[in-house]
Amino acid sequence: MKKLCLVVAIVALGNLAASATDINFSLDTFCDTFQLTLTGTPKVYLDGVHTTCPGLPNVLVGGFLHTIPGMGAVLDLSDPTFGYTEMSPYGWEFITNADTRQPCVWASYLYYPGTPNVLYETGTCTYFTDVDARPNVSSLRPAFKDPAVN
Amino acid sequence: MKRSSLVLVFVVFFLVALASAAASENTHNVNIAFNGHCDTMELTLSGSPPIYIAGTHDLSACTDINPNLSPIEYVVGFRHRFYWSIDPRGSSKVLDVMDPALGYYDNLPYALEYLINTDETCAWAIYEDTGSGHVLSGAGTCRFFKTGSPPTPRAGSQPSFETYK
Repeated sequence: MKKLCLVVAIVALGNLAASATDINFSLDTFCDTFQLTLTGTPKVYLDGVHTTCPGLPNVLVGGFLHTIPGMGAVLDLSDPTFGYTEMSPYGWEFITNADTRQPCVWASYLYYPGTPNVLYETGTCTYFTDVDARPNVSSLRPAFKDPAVN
Repeated sequence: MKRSSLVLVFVVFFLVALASAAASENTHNVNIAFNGHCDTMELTLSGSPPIYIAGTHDLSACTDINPNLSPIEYVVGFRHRFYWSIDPRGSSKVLDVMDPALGYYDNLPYALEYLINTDETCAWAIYEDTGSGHVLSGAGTCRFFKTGSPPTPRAGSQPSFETYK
């Protein structure tokens, strides 16, 4: 009986580690939303969809959960928007805090010719469970349309 | 000049020199060529600690990219601690670089990420997002080179991110 309980416990722990976690958030003052899933063993693999604005294409994003000195645990995403939507050869990176019990904050990093600083934008974000419940954001601009670059 | 003013000037010069030295120590270049491929990366790490990565992904030696597009991509990322068990393995720290290549060259709405180990040996792995998760799609070894002196690639070799083709 004890062995059976041990096997059940090990299987349960294995399933717990392997189970996926959904993390959805929208960028405040922008029309962008991210619907992400955290998976793997260790549970650090991140993938999902970056939805920008009505009429603009969605892109698939991905990355890893890891720590950065001074920032703690972060969700670190590679975003193909500049390459795909803008046809510009610029890599774009999103960082958000990984602890969803804390207020949602984000920063994006972009390097392009002539820029003195790779930090592109920062802001707050809002977690959500149902994307359809999000208020109408069609009047907002997408985060990649920063006047300094576009 | 009063003695106190002289001391003040000296202190200011000392602080400026110290700041300059600290800044230069915290910025360094890592240039890598992907073995068996035609592309290279020239990356600069900056910050204190030097964790911010910015640089170029140079495909100018690649013959099969669209000639109407820029052969130079601009990439960003972070250097951070990571699991030994995750490719490219072999180091507790990686250069984590976000690359626009799949969107820019292949017109695909997919993310591309390079993890590069430069601490022990030079090794790399790439991860893509094509709708099936953040998936390892290629890996290999690399070699270092001096800034502005990339090695000549093997004729007909593919870019590192085209390993899945």
